[in-house]
Amino acid sequence: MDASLVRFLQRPVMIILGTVDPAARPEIGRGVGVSVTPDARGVELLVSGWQWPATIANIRATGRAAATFSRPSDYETYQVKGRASLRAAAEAEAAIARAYCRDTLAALMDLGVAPGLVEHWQATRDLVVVSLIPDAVFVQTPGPRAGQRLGGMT
Amino acid sequence: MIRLSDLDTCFEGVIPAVIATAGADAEPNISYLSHVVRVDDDHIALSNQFFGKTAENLRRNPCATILLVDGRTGAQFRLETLFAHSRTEGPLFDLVAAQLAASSAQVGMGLPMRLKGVDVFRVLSITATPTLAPDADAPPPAVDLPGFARAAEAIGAAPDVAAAYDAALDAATTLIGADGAMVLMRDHPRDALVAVLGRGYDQGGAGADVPFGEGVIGLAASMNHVMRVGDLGRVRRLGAAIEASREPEDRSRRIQLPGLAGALSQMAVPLRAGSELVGVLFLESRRRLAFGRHEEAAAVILARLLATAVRLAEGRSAAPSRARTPSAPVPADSRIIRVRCHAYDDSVFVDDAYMIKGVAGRILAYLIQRHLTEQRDEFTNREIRLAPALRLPGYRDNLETRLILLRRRLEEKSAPIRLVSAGRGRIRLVLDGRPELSGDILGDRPA
Repeated sequence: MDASLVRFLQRPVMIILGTVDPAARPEIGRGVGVSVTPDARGVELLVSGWQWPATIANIRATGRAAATFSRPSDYETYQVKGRASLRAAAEAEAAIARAYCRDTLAALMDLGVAPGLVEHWQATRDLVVVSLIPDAVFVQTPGPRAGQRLGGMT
Repeated sequence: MIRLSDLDTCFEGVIPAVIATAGADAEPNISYLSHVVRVDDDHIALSNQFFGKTAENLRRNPCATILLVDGRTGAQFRLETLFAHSRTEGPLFDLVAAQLAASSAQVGMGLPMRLKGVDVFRVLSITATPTLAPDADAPPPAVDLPGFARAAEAIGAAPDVAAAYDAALDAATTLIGADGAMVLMRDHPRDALVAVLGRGYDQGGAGADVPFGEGVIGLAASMNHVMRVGDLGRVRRLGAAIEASREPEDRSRRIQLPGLAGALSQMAVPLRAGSELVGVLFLESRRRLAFGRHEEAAAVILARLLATAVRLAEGRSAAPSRARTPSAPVPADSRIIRVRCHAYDDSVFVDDAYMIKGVAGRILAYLIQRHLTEQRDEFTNREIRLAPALRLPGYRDNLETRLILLRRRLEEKSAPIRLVSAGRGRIRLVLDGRPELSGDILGDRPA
């Protein structure tokens, strides 16, 4: 993946996931953590299977997902689309999710967001790892470049 | 079963909503939404600022899943929807345009992107997303109707314009829960508003200008629509930067609009008499999402009552012909009050301090001039209204309101010149010294 995108994903960003069920009905879920794989070819997203069961079921059925990452301070946003697979989270990944929840809470509180508002989506129960190998990355930051494809993808 | 009408605080534009669609190849697409509006019990509308992919997907597959977030509690709701149709004009389009403008003002962006269209979706189902968060506090109680009836009486029975304003500001703070409230009048013939009276502010601000289209107040006037913002958290730092760079009033001749420190919610309601915009009623609160649909409805009623009461009171302020009470003799050794007038903006400075400009400036200059030439302190509203030099456009000009503004401004500046009421339809000039006029003298100019 593009080096600037890898750097972007290392700071607190909001994560939403789009999937589609076998009847072509779209579904929404949220992520509670992201890490870039060591070879920088993919990302691993942490999702609560308890809070977003339909998202997990769709990935299991279709093997596709779209993830949008947005930085709350300036709305810089990217959407990654690609092949997705699942595995159960281990303690190392649970630790990443806890750190993510802490860092995004701090970032959002810094923007004046009340902590109670954040708690609703920061569920880490039945944590699942969604491995996403991108086919394409799109800029979605509001502005002239919105919708453009980010280069350097396989 | 959850209904759309249960989700009012999801439509405040505080926390972005999310939309997921599916492409022809069943490829998912997911993006944030800036604004969602409830149309009726079964439909919602989204501003069409989509990235091309979402729009393209919806043409092929009308299924969209939308996640709404309650701006008060943070609770999430999943809506299963079908794309129904687009609108590029009409009442719904205008409503969404107005709300977009308000939320742009909320994040300090000034005028928003042009709205291309509004997309309407039919809602098939609503489900609450499971959560581990504790239950939220109960929502604040609805507006107290018996109290509101008493407020309506107080406004309607007010003996004069000032009393009507006071009663309305009382209601705004005690019944609608505003920590700060303000009345601004339309300053004909300019497209601008001028602050008249405020409640709950540390600083004064009578005479402060707000151009149409600027901020929540100016947008309420230019769009002739209620403007509501529920979470100003992010704008405050911007505001602080602007505050720091402010020019002194005596140089800029601009009075600063008072602001409520720590305000998180604002609501600006057009004041309309008949169908004519006469001003704006503005409310602020330190609570997030303090003004919901019910508070908006209450403020709209209040604004209508106030505008009507003021229009009636302005019309009946006819007093006997000119007052002839001679002024109290001023001791010869009393201090001189230097009053300087500038014709190009009708600004008036008293002892080098900027007081006011525009119509109120002309009125102040006129009163001092008449005092000097006719040795009297008392004036009737009627003679002011008819004075050719003031070039007032008649009763629709809200003379009483302008006098209240001027009186308040002189008090806020602790000026050595004050205006006090001298009974119905009369005012008295109170001077702590002998005025000396300089600059452009008003009376002899052609009207």
